[in-house]
Amino acid sequence: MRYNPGDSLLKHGVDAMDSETRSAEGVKGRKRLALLYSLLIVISVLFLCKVISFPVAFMLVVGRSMEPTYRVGDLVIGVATYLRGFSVGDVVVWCRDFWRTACVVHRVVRVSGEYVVTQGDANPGPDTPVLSSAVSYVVVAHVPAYVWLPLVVLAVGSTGYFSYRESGKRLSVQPGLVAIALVATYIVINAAILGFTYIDNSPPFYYTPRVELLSAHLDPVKMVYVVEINTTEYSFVEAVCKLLGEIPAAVVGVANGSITRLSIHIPAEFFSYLWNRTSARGVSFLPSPPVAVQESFSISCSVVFDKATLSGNYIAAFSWREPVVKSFNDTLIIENVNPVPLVLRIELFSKARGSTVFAREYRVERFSTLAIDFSNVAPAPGDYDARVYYTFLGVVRGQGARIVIK
Amino acid sequence: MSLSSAENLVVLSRQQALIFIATCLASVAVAVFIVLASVTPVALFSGYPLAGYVTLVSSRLLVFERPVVFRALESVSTITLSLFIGSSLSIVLGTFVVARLLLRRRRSEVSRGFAAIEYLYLELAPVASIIAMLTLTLFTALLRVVVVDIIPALPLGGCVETTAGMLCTERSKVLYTGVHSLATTNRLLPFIAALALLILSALTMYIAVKLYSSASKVYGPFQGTRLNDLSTAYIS
Repeated sequence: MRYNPGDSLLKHGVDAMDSETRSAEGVKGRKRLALLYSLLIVISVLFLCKVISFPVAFMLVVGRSMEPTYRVGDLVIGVATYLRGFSVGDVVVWCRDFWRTACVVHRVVRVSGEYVVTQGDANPGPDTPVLSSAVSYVVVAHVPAYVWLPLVVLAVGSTGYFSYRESGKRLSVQPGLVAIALVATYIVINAAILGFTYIDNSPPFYYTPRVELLSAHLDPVKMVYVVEINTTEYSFVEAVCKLLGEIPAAVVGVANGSITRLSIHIPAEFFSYLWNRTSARGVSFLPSPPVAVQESFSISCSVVFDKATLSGNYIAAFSWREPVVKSFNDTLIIENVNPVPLVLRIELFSKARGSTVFAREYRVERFSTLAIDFSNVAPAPGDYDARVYYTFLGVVRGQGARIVIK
Repeated sequence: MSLSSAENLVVLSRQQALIFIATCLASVAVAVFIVLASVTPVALFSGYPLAGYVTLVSSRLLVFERPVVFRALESVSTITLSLFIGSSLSIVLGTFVVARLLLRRRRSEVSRGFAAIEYLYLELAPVASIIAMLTLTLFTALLRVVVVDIIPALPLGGCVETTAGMLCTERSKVLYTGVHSLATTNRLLPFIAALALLILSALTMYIAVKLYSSASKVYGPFQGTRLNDLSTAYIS
């Protein structure tokens, strides 16, 4: 400031003091602005640190998978895994891409060998296992959005305000600058939003109704196949079942709470059909009696519920068994434990005479016992051999028993 | 030209004004459309097992009568923030410029009292248009992700293997809205609209630059240029 002799000394002094005050304020303002810019740069760099695997990085929570621990917009602070290890229970950050732009913040639920399994606290299921090397950061702290966001907005706003105050004195707006600034701002905002978010390509998690097979068993005596199904979601309407996929069978369905019990009636003729079918196929080798030959058949059922249909194929298994031949003094006892009747030829051979003294065919019904008292048919007391002949699954077989007639 | 003295006025011909107004209106229309389309369901599901709706902003879906957790839709929902920011900018800028153009008055400082507008506001028309175009492309990309990648992942029905056999449910009814068609049958429409916006923004920018440069040729940069002289140059 130049001193003009014409001015009063007092006025000059006041002007000089004003000028110094303004200068001091200007320096203070510039320092404040520099501090704010530095702060914003540090924050921005910390947000970008994960890209270069910096020891500490800020990350933004953009999904709801970690609720209620972290909510959308929360800031998490991670320490690089090369500085701090992690174990089950820690919240870690693993990234899907090389540049670490699409990262997942989830809790470790299992570590097995080189693989880590993580799961969001709000997710019903775990994520696909990832390599341990893909885990970049361990979350050590988090700042809720309602704390950090206002602070950042305040910092950005203050920076803008003070910049405007400072720039108003020196900068000038050229044509086109406003347009470029606006478009650039929009692009930066977009880049920030798209840079911090990614489209999580994990499949949808949804509850699948449980339809459980509790039991399925054949009761050859009652000739029913019982299927018990547990379903909590659906109400039973009706069921249609077919034997071997083509022979209709009567079904009685009873729902008791969540359990549906299907009683599928197996006709006697069906067992005869199975007997004949196996007989026709032939049995390759049968050891000494009594033998058991495994038999099975399929039952396909279509169970109609109120909102769904269950198509199930169930296997029924049982054994064909040779008749059990026993004797008790003069009585011959033959048990048929098959679901089909058996035709037997029974002969009584006299050892004394060396010839057959009695021969007759019998039909033993399914699951029944035949008892023959030989005391009336034997010509004389003595030792006899009772010979029982039958066709078992197409093979003529025989068994014998000692009969003693007193 | 400092910010505080950015009062340089330009006089537009009727045709030029119409182009600027059309550009702004197109930008506003596209931006409003993006906002509406973002909150309009892309697909509506009814029946069993899937019921609910999917919009870009938020979705409500029930699978087997229980809420589904679908992180992909949540990600899309977060990204739609960009759509709203872009649309808001376009709507505000476009409406502002249209209002300024329609309400431009005869300025006493302009030669022969022509209706004039500050040059700065003319710049905002291509800006609104470019932002609307960028937002529209982002909207199209997001919509495509939702239609092509996300919606097909939803269980519309079918069979699920259980221990008791194959459980086959009914099929949910799906109603695809017009928004959905923008990514399928009418997928050229957004492309055409974006192209039109790009052309309009280029045209308006060209007109604005031409107005500025023709004035600069005669009188040099705006600094210190007499406004009445400048406007006379434009209409001559």
